[in-house]
Amino acid sequence: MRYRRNNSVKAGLLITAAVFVLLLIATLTALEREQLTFGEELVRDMVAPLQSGVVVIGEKLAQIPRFFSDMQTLNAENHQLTAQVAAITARLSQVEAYEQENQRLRRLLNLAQEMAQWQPVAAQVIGRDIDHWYDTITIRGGADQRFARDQAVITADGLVGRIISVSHRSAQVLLLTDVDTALSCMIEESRVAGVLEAADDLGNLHMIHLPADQPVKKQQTVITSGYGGIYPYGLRIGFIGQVQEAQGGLTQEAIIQPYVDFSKLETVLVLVASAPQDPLAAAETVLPGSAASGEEHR
Amino acid sequence: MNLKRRNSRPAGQWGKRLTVAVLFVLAVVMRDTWLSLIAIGGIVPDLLLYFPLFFAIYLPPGQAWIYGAALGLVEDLLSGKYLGLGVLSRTGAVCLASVLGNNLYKENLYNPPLIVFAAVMASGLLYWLCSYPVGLGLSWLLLPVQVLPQALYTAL
Repeated sequence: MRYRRNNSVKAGLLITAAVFVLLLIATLTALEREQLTFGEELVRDMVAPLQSGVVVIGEKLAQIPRFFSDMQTLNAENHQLTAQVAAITARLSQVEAYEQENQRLRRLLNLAQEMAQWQPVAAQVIGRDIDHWYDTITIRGGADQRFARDQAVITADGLVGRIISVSHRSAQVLLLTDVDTALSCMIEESRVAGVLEAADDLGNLHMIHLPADQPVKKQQTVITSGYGGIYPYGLRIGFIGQVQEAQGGLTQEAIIQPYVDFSKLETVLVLVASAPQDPLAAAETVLPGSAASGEEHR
Repeated sequence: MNLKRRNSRPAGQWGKRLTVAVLFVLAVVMRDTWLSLIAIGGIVPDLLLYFPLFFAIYLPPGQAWIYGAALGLVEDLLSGKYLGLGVLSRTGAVCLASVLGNNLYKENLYNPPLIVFAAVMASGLLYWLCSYPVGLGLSWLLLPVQVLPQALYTAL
């Protein structure tokens, strides 16, 4: 009994001493100290990497719910941006179409200014003969625009053909590639004259009746000679692609590659022989979308 | 044979203590990093006490106090200020939990949370009390504003 009491007293004294020691240490290691103890430094240095690792993991874990909410936001944004891209793409293609049209009209305008002796009137191609018997196109504008039979039709690239029939508001143009085509022409470089003949089955143009002793070379430019009375002088037709001896050997003939792409005709110029006027105003008279044509259409 | 057993026992105990110390270090690190995620109104549960309390409830105070002291020491070393206050408060809390755990009916569902509540309160109270002799002088308002909600949260 006494032994147990002694032990309790000892334990009490020990605890009290421990408490005092701890309080003393706590007092000595107050909030602001110049240097940490060795134990503190050791524990902190050991734990610091662990702490930063745990923090990183915690941040990653905290990002998981945000990831899903971000996914929803991104999904919505994706739909929105897809719609915007589609709208912009459509708009871009429209702008590109405008740009091409603008370039085409500028070239037509330049050409019209070059041909001051004619009154070039722009006209939109509104139809193409599809029965394969004739190579013709229908243009917007007819007698009302002073279009008449046998007027030359050109583009910025060169000669297209001539008008073969006219109504009040439309005209039919016979293309150079039609088999009925025949016109007087010459080689621009050598001034050698010939006749541009109807196309063959392959759609090529033939320049015939070229004297055998005249120099005819590839890549030379063929223009209208103005002799026939229909086509004015100097309209570009095409270039010589091939030269060959004609049947009988007395003359030679050339296969002409036209400058005009007849499959892509959209707007042409009709050469109306009259007093010159502002080509821009003339162009506005029959081009679609212009104020003048709108009035006419109504 | 007996000699062999006597020699192996301290080594096993030191290994066990080292494991507990590592666990405490990990727990402190977790508390300092992740515990803020479950804070309610700035109050976080004193989850660190769960470790020593687990031992304390099933061990007598003579054996349980070492876990409280170890936890307090780890906390003190990591906090770097007033070394010893943590040891005192945690040891006292664990001893109280041990006394309660050995005298209350453990299988009662309400007793373990009650012991946890009492231990957290005791820990806070001891820390507050000991802050005066060492010159820290914490305000008594911390008891109702910080310690009591923390004890309730931890007990839940």
